[in-house]
Amino acid sequence: MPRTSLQPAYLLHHRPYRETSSILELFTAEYGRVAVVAKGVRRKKSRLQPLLQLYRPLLLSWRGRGPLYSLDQAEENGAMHSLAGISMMSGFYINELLVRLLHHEDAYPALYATYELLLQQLSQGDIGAELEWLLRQFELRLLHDLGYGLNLEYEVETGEPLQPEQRYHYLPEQGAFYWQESGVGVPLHGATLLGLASGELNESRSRREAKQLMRRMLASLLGDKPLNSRELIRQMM
Amino acid sequence: MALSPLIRRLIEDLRCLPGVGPKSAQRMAFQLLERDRNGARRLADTLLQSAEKIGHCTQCRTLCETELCTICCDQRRDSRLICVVETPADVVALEQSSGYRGRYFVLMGHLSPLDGIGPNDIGLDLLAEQLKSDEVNEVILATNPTVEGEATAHFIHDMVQRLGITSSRIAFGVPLGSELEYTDSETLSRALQGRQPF
Repeated sequence: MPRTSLQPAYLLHHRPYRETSSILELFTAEYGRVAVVAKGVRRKKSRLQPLLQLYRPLLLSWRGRGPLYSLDQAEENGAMHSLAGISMMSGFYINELLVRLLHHEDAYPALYATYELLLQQLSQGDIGAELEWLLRQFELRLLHDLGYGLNLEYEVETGEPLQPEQRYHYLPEQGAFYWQESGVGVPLHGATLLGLASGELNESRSRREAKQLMRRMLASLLGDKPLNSRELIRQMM
Repeated sequence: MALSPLIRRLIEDLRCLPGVGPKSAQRMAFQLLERDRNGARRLADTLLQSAEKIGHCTQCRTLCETELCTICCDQRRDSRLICVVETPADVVALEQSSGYRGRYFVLMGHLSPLDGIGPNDIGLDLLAEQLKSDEVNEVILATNPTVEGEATAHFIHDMVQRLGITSSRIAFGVPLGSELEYTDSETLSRALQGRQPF
């Protein structure tokens, strides 16, 4: 049986399976999202249970044939990212996005690196308003790697470069159109899109617009089912 | 040997119990049929009554067949202290081991956004109501030391704090009789962080 040996991975979600086992959704560096059965992990004396926690860097081995593999071995791969409060809830949010949007066994190495970096940043205590901006950058990377990257350079119809103070409408899967009274899509300023492209978005207006934009982009991929973690964060605020 | 349909059904049904496979289910079935028919009748009767009558305590949500459970009814218990746990089994564990004399609140689970389990699914609306109306001055957060348990504790802590009530979290550390060498690093680091003057 094919076996994969000690791969860097994070646990995204787990659910009980039979009496003492769990089904784990993993995010791995080389294989993307992988589902494995961890046999006997919910037994009282399971050595793996304290290891298999969310936000904990792991090295995992699994074998068998997909789509559901068997977990063989688990080791810790560094200290756990200890997320607290709103950062912990944000962690649930990004995990929910990944479980909902990633296909099994498509590799997303750059997204994995971004995920790991984000966990490190989230574990640095109270990061205040930076939190939202970190989430936006993660969402941007996620959309890009899923093949829904944003057009952050030109107006769609004319091909003219975006201007910071010009107003636009952004339509998912198409791009920015010059603003019109009757226009559809997310209304925003050029500065927001240029800031997303350069990775620097400091104005509160732009950050607010970026949030609306990302929400709309993700909604078109997520469909009608709402994100539960977003609702939980709203209740906590 | 071919078993009759009813015996087969009995064996099949016994397998809904945890830890019972086909072989143990068959042993149980023959034990009841060959040696303990009265026990079988009693068991059947108790199972039926339990399934029909046992619900949740209206105050702490633990399993019981009366409106209030025995702990909530007990006048000698300190009603200013509420210990929040995930399951009825946690109540039993705490009752057996500790000298705790307050009340409990049983969530019957923990927050799990990815499974769609939110605050109201674990009875936090009921808890908030009780905290507003009763004279509670401390809430002890005894959810499990998992990320989900931690998130649940956090959520309740925020809620409790807004109501001006103290909350505390149970301590984490190295299990008695174990060895540091074999303790996982996260438990050890929490144990160090939570060290106390000797």
